[in-house]
Amino acid sequence: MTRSRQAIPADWGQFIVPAVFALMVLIFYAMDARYLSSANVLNIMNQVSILMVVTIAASLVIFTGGFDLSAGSVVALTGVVASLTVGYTDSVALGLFAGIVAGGLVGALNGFFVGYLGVSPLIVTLGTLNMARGLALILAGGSAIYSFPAWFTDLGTSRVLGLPLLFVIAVIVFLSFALLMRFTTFGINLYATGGNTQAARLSGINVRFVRFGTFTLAGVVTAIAGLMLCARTGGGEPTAGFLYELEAIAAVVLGGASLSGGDGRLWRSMLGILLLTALGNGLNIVGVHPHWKGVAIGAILVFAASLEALRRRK
Amino acid sequence: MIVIPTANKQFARHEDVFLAAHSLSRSYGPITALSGVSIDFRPGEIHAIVGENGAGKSTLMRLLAGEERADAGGILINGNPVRISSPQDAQAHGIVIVHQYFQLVNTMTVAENIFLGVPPIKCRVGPIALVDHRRMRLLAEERLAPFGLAHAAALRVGDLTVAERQLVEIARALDRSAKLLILDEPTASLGPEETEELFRHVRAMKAQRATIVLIAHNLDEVLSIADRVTVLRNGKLIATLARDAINYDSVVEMIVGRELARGYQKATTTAGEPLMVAEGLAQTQASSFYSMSLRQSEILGIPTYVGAMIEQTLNELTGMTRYRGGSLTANGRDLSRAGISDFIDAGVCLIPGDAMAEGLIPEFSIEDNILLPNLSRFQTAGFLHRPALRRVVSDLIRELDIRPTNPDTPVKNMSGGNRQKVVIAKWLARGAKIYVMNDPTKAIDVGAKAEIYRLLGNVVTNGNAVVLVSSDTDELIGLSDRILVLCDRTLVAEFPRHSIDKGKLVAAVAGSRQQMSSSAPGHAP
Repeated sequence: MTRSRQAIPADWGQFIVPAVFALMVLIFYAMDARYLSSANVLNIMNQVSILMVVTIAASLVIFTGGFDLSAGSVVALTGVVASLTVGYTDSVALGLFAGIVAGGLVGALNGFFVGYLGVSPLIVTLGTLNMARGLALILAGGSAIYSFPAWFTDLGTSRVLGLPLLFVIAVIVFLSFALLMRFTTFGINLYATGGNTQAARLSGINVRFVRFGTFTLAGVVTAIAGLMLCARTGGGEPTAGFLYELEAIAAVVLGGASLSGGDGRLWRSMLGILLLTALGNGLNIVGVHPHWKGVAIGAILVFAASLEALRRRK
Repeated sequence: MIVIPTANKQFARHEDVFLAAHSLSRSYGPITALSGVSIDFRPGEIHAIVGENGAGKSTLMRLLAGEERADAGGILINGNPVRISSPQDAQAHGIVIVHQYFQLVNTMTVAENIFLGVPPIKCRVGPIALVDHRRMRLLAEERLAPFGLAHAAALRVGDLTVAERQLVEIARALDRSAKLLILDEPTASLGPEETEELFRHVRAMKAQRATIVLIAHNLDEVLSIADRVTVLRNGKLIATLARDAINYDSVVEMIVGRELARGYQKATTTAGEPLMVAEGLAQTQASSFYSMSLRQSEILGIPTYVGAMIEQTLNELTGMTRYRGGSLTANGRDLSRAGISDFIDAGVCLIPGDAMAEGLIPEFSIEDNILLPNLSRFQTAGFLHRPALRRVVSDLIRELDIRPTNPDTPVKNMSGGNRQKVVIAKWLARGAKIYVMNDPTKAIDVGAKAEIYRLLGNVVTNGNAVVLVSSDTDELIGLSDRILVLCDRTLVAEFPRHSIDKGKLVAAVAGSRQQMSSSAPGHAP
C-alpha cells in the first residue's frame, strides 16, 4: 500500500541537484579561485538572467503537462518586432509593447491549438518554432536590426545595488510568478490541470482555458526575455535565442519537475538553470574548449534524470 | 441536443420531485449502455441504484452529473427542463458526484483537493484571486474531522491510503452544499466503522432534504439504508421499488435476471496433475506471502476488490514483476527470478481485464493481434508465413465464434466480448497452458459474458488451467473449482467446489476487508 512506501525515507532525491551544484562549485573553485571572484559571480548573473526568464515560461507550461519548443524562436521574433517598431516610430515604449504582443500572439496560437483543439504540444510548438524563426528572418530581411537608442542599450549593462539590472529583472519576474503560484487560484488551477486533468475538469476548472492561458502567458514571459536580450545586444537579431528552449527544458527537468505535469517548483527550475549556466562558465574559466559545454550539460541532464527515475521506481 | 417531450404527465404528477429524467439513452459505439431509462429523485430520500457490472449504473450517473451527454431523453429539475452538458452545469444545479475511481490530484495536498475549483478567496485584484491558504486548511480540517482525518489536510493525496482517499473524496463532496449527491460505490474500500460513519453523514444530509443516490454492490448494505431502490439490467430500468416493497431475494432476481441465474454453471471436471505451484511468494515484506497450487483442468477463482491488491499477485504469477522470495514452478519449469518471456515459454499467459488497454493493439487486425505472441512460429528469417497464419486464425475465429469473422477486421471496431475472445485466441494459438485472467468479463455485456464462460469451459477441457480473478461473486461461484480469498498476498480462506457457499464467501471477503482497514495505520482518533 501507499503506507509502506511512505516508510522509505522520503525525498532524498530532491537534494541531488543542490548537492551536485555545491560539488561542482567546489571543484571549479579548487581548480581556479577566480571562479568565485565577485567579477565572475556578477558575470554568471549576467549570463543567467535571460535564460532564467525563459525557464520561468518553460516551467509554467511543463507544470500544466505541456511542452514549449518555440521559446528560442519567440525570443528572436520579439527582438526583431520590437526593433522594427522602434525604427519606425522612434518610441521605445511602443517597441516594447509590440514585442510583448508578438510573443503573446505566438503563445496564444500554441495555447489555442493545444488547449482547444487538443493537438500535441510537441507538434504545435515544433510548428511555431519554425514559423516564428522564419517570420523573424523575413521581417528583419535576414540581418540584425539595431534601432534602439543608446540609453536603452545601456540598461543592458547597468547595475542596480551593485547587481546587473537584467538579473534583477529576472529575479523580479521569478518572485512575481512564485508568489502567483503559491498564493493565487492561478497556481492551483495550473498544478491541478497538470496533475490530473480529468479531476480538474470535473471540479469545474476550465482546463482548456488554463492550457490556453498558460501558453499565452509563457509567450509573454518569453517576450520579456527577448526584450532583455535587445537591451544587451542593442537590437533585434533574427538568429538570437537559438536552442534557448532546450536549455530551459533541461533546467526544469533538473529541477525535478515531471514532464507529465502537476509536479515541480519554480525555484527548483531556477536552481536548474543556474547550475547549467555556472557549469558552462566554470568550464570556460578552467580553460575547457566551449564545444565541451554541450557534452557536459547533456551528461548532467541524463545523470539527474536517471537518478530521478530510479527514485520513482522504488 | 436533448429534446424535452411536451407530454410529461407522468412526472408532472409528483410535486415533490427534485430531478426527473425521461427516456435517457446512451450508446458507446456498438454497445448500448443505457436505453430509455426514466427515473425520478425526491428531496430527502436515499435512492439506491443496483445492478450488475455493465448494467448502466455508472453511465446513468455520468449523464446526471454532466460528464457525458445523453443520445436521447431529457432532464427536469423542479419541473423545469434543463440541459446538463458539463460538470459545471450539474454543479450549478446542486448535483455532485463522488466517483468510484478517484478524481483527486495526487501531487496536491488534501486541502487543495477538497477546494479544487472553489478555493476560499482572501481578495481579488483584477483577474488575480488570492487564495486564503490558512482558512482553506482550517475548513478542510473541519470537513475531515468527522472522518478522523483532520491531521491529513496538509498531506499530499499521493501519500494517503486508498480508504483515506475515498473519505477525502466524500468529504469534498459534502462540502459543496449538494442537493443531489451521487455516491458511486462509496463503501468499496471502507471498513465497517468507516461505512457506518459515512452512512451517518448520508442520513444527516437526507434530514436536510438533500437527495442521495447510492450505487453499490453490497446489497445488504444498500438495502439497510435506502428509501427506494432502482434495479438496472442491461441498460434498462427493471423496476423502482419503495422501501416497504423491497425484498432481498426479489431484488437479486431482478438484478441477475431469471434466465441467466443458472447460466453460470461449469461442467465438473476432474482436476489432474499440478500445473503451477507457488510457495511462499513474497515481494518485499517477509510478512506477506502466499502459497498456492493450480491443477490441470482446474478453474481457480480469486475474488478481487478494492484494496486486496490482487493486481500484485497477478503480476507475480505472470512474470510482470519479480518476486523476491519463495518459489514458483509452472508446467514443470522453475520460474524463480524469471522474466515475462520465460513465463510465456512455460505456458503462462495473462488475459488483462481491459483488452483494449493491455491486451490488444487497437489498430491491428484480428490476425495481426493473434500473430504477436506467435511471431517465432510464423516466420523464417523475419519473413512471415501469412497463409499458414491465416489458416490458424480462421480456425480460431470459427472455434471461438469471433465476430466479425473477417481476420482483417481492426479490433478497435469490435465489441468488448469479441475483443476478449481475440485475446484468448492469441494464447490458444501459442499453446498456453495456464490462463491467468484479470476480471475478463468486467467490461462486456451480459450476452458476451455467457460466451466467455463457455469458452473458459472449453479451455480447461484440454488439460489447461485457469486462474480467474473476478469482481463478480456469482461468476466465481458458478465457474470455479476452488476459490481462494487473498488479501495483500495473504491467504484468508479457501473453498473447494463442493463447499462453496455464497454467504461464507462474501463473509470471508468482507472479513479480510475489515481486517485490512483496521490494520491500516492513521485511523486512530
